[in-house]
Amino acid sequence: MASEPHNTSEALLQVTNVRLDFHTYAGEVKALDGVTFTVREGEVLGLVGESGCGKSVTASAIVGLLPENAHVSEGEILLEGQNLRNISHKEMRDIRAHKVAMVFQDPTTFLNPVLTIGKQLEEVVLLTTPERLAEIAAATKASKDLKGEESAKTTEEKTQASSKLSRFERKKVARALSVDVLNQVRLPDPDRILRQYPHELSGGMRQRCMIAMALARNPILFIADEITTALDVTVQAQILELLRELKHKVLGSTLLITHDLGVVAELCDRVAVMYAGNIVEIAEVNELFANPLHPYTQGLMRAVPIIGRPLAGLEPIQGSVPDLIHPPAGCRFHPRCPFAFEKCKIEKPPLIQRGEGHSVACHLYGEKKP
Amino acid sequence: MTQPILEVKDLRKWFPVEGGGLFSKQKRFVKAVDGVNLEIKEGETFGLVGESGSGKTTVGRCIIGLLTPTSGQILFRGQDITKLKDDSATRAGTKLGIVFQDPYASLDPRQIIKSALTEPMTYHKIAATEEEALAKAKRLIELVGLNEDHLYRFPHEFSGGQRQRIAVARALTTNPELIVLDEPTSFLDVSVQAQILHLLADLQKELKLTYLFISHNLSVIENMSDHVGVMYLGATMETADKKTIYRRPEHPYTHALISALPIPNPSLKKNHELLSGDIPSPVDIPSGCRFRTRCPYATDYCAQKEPLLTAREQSHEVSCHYNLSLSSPIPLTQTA
Amino acid sequence: MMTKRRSSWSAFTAELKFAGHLLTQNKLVLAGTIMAVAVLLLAMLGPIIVSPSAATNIDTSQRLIPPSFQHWFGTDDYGRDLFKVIILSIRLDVSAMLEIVLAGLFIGSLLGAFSGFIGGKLDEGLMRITDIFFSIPSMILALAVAAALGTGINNLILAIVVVQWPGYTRILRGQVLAEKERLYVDALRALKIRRFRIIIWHIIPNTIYPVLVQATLDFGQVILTFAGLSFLGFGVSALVPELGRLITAGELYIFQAPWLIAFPGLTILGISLAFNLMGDGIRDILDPRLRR
Repeated sequence: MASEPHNTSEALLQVTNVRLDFHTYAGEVKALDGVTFTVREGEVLGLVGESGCGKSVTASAIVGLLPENAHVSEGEILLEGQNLRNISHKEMRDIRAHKVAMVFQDPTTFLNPVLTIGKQLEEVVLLTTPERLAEIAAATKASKDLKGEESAKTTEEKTQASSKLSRFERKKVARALSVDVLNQVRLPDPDRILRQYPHELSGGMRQRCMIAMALARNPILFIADEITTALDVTVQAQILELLRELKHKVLGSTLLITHDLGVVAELCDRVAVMYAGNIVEIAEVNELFANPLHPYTQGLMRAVPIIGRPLAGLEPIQGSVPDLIHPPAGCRFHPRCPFAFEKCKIEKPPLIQRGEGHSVACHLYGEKKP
Repeated sequence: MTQPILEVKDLRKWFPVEGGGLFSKQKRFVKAVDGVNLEIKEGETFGLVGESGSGKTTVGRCIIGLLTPTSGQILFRGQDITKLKDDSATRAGTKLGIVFQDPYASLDPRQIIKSALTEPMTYHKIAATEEEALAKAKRLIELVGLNEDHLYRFPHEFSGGQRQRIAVARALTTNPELIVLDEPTSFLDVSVQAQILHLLADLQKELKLTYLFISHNLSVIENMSDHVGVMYLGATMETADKKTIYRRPEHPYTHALISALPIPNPSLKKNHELLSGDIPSPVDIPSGCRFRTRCPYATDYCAQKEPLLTAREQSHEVSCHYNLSLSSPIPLTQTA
Repeated sequence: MMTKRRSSWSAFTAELKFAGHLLTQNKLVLAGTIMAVAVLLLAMLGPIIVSPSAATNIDTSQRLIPPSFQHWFGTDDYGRDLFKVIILSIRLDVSAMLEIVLAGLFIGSLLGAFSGFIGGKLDEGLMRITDIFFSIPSMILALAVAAALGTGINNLILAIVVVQWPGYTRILRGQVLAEKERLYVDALRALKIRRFRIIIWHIIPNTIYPVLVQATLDFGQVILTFAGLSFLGFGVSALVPELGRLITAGELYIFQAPWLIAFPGLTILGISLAFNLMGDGIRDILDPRLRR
């Protein structure tokens, strides 16, 4: 049984043994094959792998945004102990609104081109719970009528109190909150930006807006899916710097999905390496780079061009990513693995712990070695 | 000093923009390439690096003949290929090859690989008969790491990496001397990327090719190039040999570009030099030095006069008014 | 294993076979296709099944006999067995239909492809010309051209081709405008291959599908136009077995011998319907796959 060492009390998101298939006319795509990992409170977990390994699918599964033909056959996804697999659509929507915020790679398709940034931010902000709106209203000097809020103590009273907020007042609060988050993402001149349309902003600015929209919901879990991949290097550096700042101040726990090991090294606390629908290794970031155990992780690090290391030191991983309709038996990496032996072709290696906080799914590290 | 195989002199490519109202007389241009100078020596790899809007792809397309420059010269072995017409243009053109960025779109989906390879050979009469062309196609397909049965398949039956290999084979059908590689690995997975880079390096040695390697990825450029040119907003900012550019860049843009790169080594503490703002639009290029709006060292003079690409030392040219002594952007504990 | 020599055109025949396989899965389409195939067979085998003399055998003693066991569709004004004459006329109508569509397709596609790819004034000019053609209702235009050209089946065919080609030009031009921006076209230009070759050998095979689909849909409409104009007096002469002509002859006896109009009319309807259904099916099957 796959397991990952964790302190249950700290785990914010627990993904356990998730299996997911896509029903397509060409066959069953076995996209996720028992994915297990945890995101602890306050940490940034990097989920790294090449395209097609299933990392984006995993994120979609967490937030419940899977396409029609996807079917989760096994496993659990626990957010703060609540199983996300057997909740209603409405409950899932609430979770997406208030607890989990997801930011995607391409801000152009994510933002509505016919609405101003202000309008879109407002939409998001107004999703905020009445309690928080009331808090903000109380904090800001929105209206004299709101003095009643300060003495309201029970949730009920607060809800009642905030429902007294007129539409106009709610909009004012929403605007104030919008400006606030735009400041947090270091966008200059927020008032102007609120009036602009997405196409008037650059790629980097749009990405910041998306992050702002995520922040506005005050989520407990932030999922970032390849958010710097489409950006230029200098802009990417700015966004990474922003995320570093936010990491300690505002962002709660983060699941950072990327294929770029450099981004992982710069932002993550812990890293999970994914290949063909499996988690093959999990470790703390320093440990992973210093001591990669899984042959795929090792291969990946050797295959990435690095400044200063000559071309001769660049080692490709032979072969190519497997067809997930007919995946290899046993360990899905075995056809490309330089260390594969008989057992690898038959039995899928479980994720076991090898050292402090370091787990790996590979028969080389099992009880019995060849 | 031997003549460089390719020289680009003050190349400009401006695209007119339909702008203004019905009555606007002012013509606006997207100045995609706005003054590019570079020299490539035979047998070496010249890395052209830049972010979006830099114009590097447009330079590649001008060199290969897909676009006609607005002004400037492109000299292949001393001959200005922009001035050639018809047959001589074709002859010169076949000495240049190109591999495009998107392996999924660069092959005719309805053409089997064998035809894709034999077509240029029979068209240009490089092979006298179909049999000869087929034999050569077999040699080429094996040279790029695939085998003979692959010749009888369609592009969609191959993976991205394999298609790129086919694209390389196709570029080689006309016996080119210089190949423009336009982001050849950007669409490929990391592990496949390494395979293609090695293939390109091996082919270069074996066939004595010259490469113009265009990319936005600084690590790939560093691995593959002998000489590097940095472009920003249509113009060359700096050119130098690889070691100099990465260790002692003198242009603030080059410096920022290199230091912005995330390094896959968490134990190295880096001081990222961050540029402020975003890349301006190529329709509205800043006056004077085009980089000044983001440059931490810009002065008033920078807004008045555009700096020229001038040599600071042997084959190290910089386009900047000032002699800034910038520290190395790469952390010293980086692997040598 | 024997590897056949293939070109990009044969990719396309391979796909036609696959489409054919899918064709058999939709009931209505299947019915239409079977009917269409039957029609084509009749067209080819007509003169073998039925002696051509049935059209010229004038026997005034057998005039205007209603449908009976000896004469399934009755006899016409000349004493000819209507059933036999209709079988013979299918050949003429169907081959005219095919000729018209193929000619229109050929001319229209070439014009559209070159116009779209090369652009500029040639393109502008051609589009204005097609505009003119579109502004006149097709039946009337065909009528006018047929009248100008005179009688005779070839003139009639030509007249309808004149009406058909602009449609194909438009479709193909639209496809080509998009296709020429694709990266493989740049790759071919970078290899210094001239435009002519690119258009014929690469662009057209990749863009011809929607035009072919339109062509199969057009069969039904074309045969109606052809028979219709024939009915009006253009095209063939009196005794030649042709469906429209049969209706002309039958018009005189509309009340006495309604079968003279009914059966030819139903035949025209049947042929048109068969090809329409088949065309619909082909369009539906090929459409999602067209977005390759």
